[in-house]
Amino acid sequence: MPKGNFDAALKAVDGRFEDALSSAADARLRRVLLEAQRPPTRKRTWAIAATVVAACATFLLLWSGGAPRGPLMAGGLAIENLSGDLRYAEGKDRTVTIESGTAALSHPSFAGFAEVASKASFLREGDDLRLVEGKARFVIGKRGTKGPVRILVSHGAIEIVGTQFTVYQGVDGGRVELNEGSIRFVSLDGRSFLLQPGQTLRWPQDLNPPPRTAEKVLPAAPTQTTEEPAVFRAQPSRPPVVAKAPSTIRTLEEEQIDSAALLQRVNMLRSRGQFGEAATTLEAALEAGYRPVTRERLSYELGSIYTRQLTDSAKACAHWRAHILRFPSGRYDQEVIAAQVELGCPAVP
Amino acid sequence: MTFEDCYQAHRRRVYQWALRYGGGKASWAEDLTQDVFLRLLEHFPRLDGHHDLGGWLYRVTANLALTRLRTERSWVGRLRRLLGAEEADAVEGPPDLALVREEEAGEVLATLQSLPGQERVVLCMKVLEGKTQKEIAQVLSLSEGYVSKLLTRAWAHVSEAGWEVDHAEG
Repeated sequence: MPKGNFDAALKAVDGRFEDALSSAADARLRRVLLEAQRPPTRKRTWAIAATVVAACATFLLLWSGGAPRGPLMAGGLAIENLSGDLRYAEGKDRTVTIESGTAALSHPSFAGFAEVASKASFLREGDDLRLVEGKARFVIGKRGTKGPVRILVSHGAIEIVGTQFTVYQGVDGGRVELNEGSIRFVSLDGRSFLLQPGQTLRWPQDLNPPPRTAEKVLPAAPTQTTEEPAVFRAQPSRPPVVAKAPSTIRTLEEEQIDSAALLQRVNMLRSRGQFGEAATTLEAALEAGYRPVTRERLSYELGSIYTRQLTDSAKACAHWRAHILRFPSGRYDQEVIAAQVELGCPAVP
Repeated sequence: MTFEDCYQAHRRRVYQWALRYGGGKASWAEDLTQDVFLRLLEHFPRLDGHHDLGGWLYRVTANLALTRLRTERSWVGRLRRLLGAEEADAVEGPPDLALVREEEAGEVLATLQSLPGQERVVLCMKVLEGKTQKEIAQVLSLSEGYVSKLLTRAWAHVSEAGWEVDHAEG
């Protein structure tokens, strides 16, 4: 009995291949291409020696049946050997320990990868990744629709918005140092701590309940809800923050806390699919007298919403054009240009 | 336009073509996408602004896919499979279960993967990309007569696998 029309069935399957490139695969491709663009730094003799070694290795691989291309697999994790001298082991509980060498670890549901250059152990837990012990730098790509990427550690989980950071997990505690972007640490008892670039959060000491003269004070923004996390501030000696209207004069520190809460609210709206409201919030914030450095970030987030979520090409192109004029040589130039190319925005005369 | 801009603008499309020619195998498509952009990197300084980059990438993707599929069917590929090195691929299909779950989708991909490399690529170009035999022949540097023969064979294989086909004449 015929199975059905082949053309129709093939076209139906093909529809799923559109936009199927995962963030993890994209990150791997970018890394390979970046590596390929680096100019050679060794002397020619080294290149010749390396060629001879590679030829011998290829011969040995073919002789022994060859190794499959692509990453190695252990404990449900894809492991890329970045240094060529990687040694790793998989425990009975599927914990993967990188013993020496440099590796990048990922799995299909994890939109990014962990780069490890020293001994560290990992465990895949469903869609999440647990750093059991050791130190790793994480690079996270754009999130899909499945909610935030999470790194599990001994005293909670780190939820990531799209960023670069380093996590150290010891036997009794650890720390996360944020290099770029924004992350939220959710402790085992459900409290949230939002980190800004340059901040470090240590566990368990930074997770201890605050004294009665509460150090963690939420800026009282008009649309704030109880679901919003506390804003984590790295220096315990900082004075409590008194919330002010956005148009009043604030210290840089206050503004950073304000804008962090604002971005948190925007992210929450985005995660709920309320993109129009998220865009309106950012549009209003851009008129609220923030410093240029903050406005640049807010403007970038607004452009991302127009581009990715609202898919309004005309509005997005106009916004990116204005963004470049307002923030020439800005921090997000590369991303803005990429978005313009992707949208096919007309060239600026 | 920088190389990064080109990658950003074309990566999804190249990966989509690669998924087609790989019969839905994500790891295979990723490897092919990598090869395509490495080839672009190599030729990038010589491509001028007027070049139809999309067309260039399309030709390179199709031809590299053919080469890769041909190598896999060569004696080296067979030897490696015999020695178990490609065991993972052999038991993989229909692959990428996260992407394709339904029974029919699995069957159509299994049929696609069972086709010899040239037949598979030519069939995808005809059905999914709407190319004429002449266009396919130009992209793959084959004669039009040979493309016609490949399509006839491909439809015969598809029909033998139990599918209804619209193009029995090739």
